[in-house]
Amino acid sequence: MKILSLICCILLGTVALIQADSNADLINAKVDRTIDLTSHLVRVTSLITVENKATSGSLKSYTYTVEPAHAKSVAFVGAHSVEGKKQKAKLNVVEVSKDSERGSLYRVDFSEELSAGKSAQIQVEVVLFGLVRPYPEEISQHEKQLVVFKGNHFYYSLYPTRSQTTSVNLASDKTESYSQLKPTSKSDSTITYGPYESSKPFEQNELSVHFENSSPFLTVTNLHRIIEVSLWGNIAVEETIDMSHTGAKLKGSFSRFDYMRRQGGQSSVKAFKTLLPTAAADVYYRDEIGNISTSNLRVPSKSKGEPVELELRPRFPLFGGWKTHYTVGYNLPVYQYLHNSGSNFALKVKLLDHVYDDQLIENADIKIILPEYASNIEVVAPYKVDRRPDQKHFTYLDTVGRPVVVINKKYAVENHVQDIKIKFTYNKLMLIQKPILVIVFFFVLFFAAILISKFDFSIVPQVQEHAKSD
Amino acid sequence: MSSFEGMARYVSPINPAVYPKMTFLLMVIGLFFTAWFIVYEVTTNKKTRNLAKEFFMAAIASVFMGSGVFFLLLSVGIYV
Repeated sequence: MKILSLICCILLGTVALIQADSNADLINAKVDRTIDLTSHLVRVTSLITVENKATSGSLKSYTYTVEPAHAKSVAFVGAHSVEGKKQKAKLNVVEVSKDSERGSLYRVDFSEELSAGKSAQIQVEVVLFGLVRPYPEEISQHEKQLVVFKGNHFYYSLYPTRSQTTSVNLASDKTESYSQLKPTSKSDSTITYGPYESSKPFEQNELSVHFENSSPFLTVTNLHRIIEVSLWGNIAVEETIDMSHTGAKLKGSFSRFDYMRRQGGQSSVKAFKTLLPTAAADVYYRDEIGNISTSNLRVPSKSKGEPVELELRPRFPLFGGWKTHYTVGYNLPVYQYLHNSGSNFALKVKLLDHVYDDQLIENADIKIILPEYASNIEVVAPYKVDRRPDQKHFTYLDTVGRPVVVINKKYAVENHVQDIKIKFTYNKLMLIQKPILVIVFFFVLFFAAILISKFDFSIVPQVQEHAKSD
Repeated sequence: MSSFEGMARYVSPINPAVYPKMTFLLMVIGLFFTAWFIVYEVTTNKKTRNLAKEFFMAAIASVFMGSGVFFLLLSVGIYV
């Protein structure tokens, strides 16, 4: 069985490869690549002018390739078609294959077929994690954080590239070193490589930048997000977060005095901002000890639709290698997120939400607790997620338990802040089941009182006359 | 966006803004009947007690107390 499935995999893989390679007539006429290294994530935005060299026939898709060294660090790939300078339609991106020799291949479907001799512009955005490495790995409190990034001078592609330029945006203008491949120029915090003419497919030449980066290297190692839907008018959201500073580790001891006295510890994190939905109310920020009072909530005017800003300041500043753990929760009105017609319901909530700017969530466990007696649950995820078996959740006044949709997502970034749709059926008559439960409970109490008053607990039998004398 | 896949926005059967007022009203009525029930139980004896009246009071008191406590839960933020 194993061998059979292996053979199947190989066969499918080769078919996929052949399909990917079949667009051999394509050529990257012009590539403008921007590598954004201002945070701990690498954002590569490539504006590609694709040309169909063939004399006949039209092409449906373009294959975007991530170099082998980066293939395991891809968090997000997205594409847009571009006309002039404006982003147009969002294009469908499918991962085709991943191997250590050629890297990851992604198929980008054109919005309309590219006919022979024509060219089109597409913009591909890739978010990579874990590639901006602190170097040195350990720094003392007053030292500045230096990081190194290794990439490719050339646009790594399945197709030959006619002309290309790459600009690297750094977090600061202070660089220790950067690789040179003529023509190379540096102005302030931008290094420009190219233009390079006619490069071959899969051409590689190591690009390396060693520079100063004091942006917060925060990583959410574990996120537990619980969304509890009540048909009585509320959606309760709670996020329990394990966060660590994944920048250069703090060497030696931490001096609070030095920290307060001067601006040392620039790469440490004092506070960060979480954006909550506009309608968020009853916000709390706490951990095991209790409420963390160092938080600020800024509520915008409701009409503008701006998000609620929550500034969180952990109990201690976060230095490299330090961790924190906290819980943030809030309530949302149900009418903004739940739709129904008859007994068919559709919930549309954010699968993941903003935790901090340039966020990286390594592991997210999302639980969506639906009302009791909800059935025929159907989940439409915005991107590929790992749906675990449904669970039951028991809380106040529950009898059979509430169905819970359990979803796991690894390596999520800001681009993954998208809506999930959950459809379910629910008989609205079941809404009154819970008040009836309480009513029955009270009636049983009264009935017991009536029953007890009927019994005679006196040791001496009651005298008939005593009753009459009243 | 007012509709989603041909569906209208779901609105809870009772506006959450009136939960505290409803709680107060229902609890007052419920507690009144509970008090009446208790007073009736202690001021009568087995002979003078009317079972129908007892059940009537118990039923009314439990309906109002039950729904009152239910809305109390909702208004304090335990959304069941």
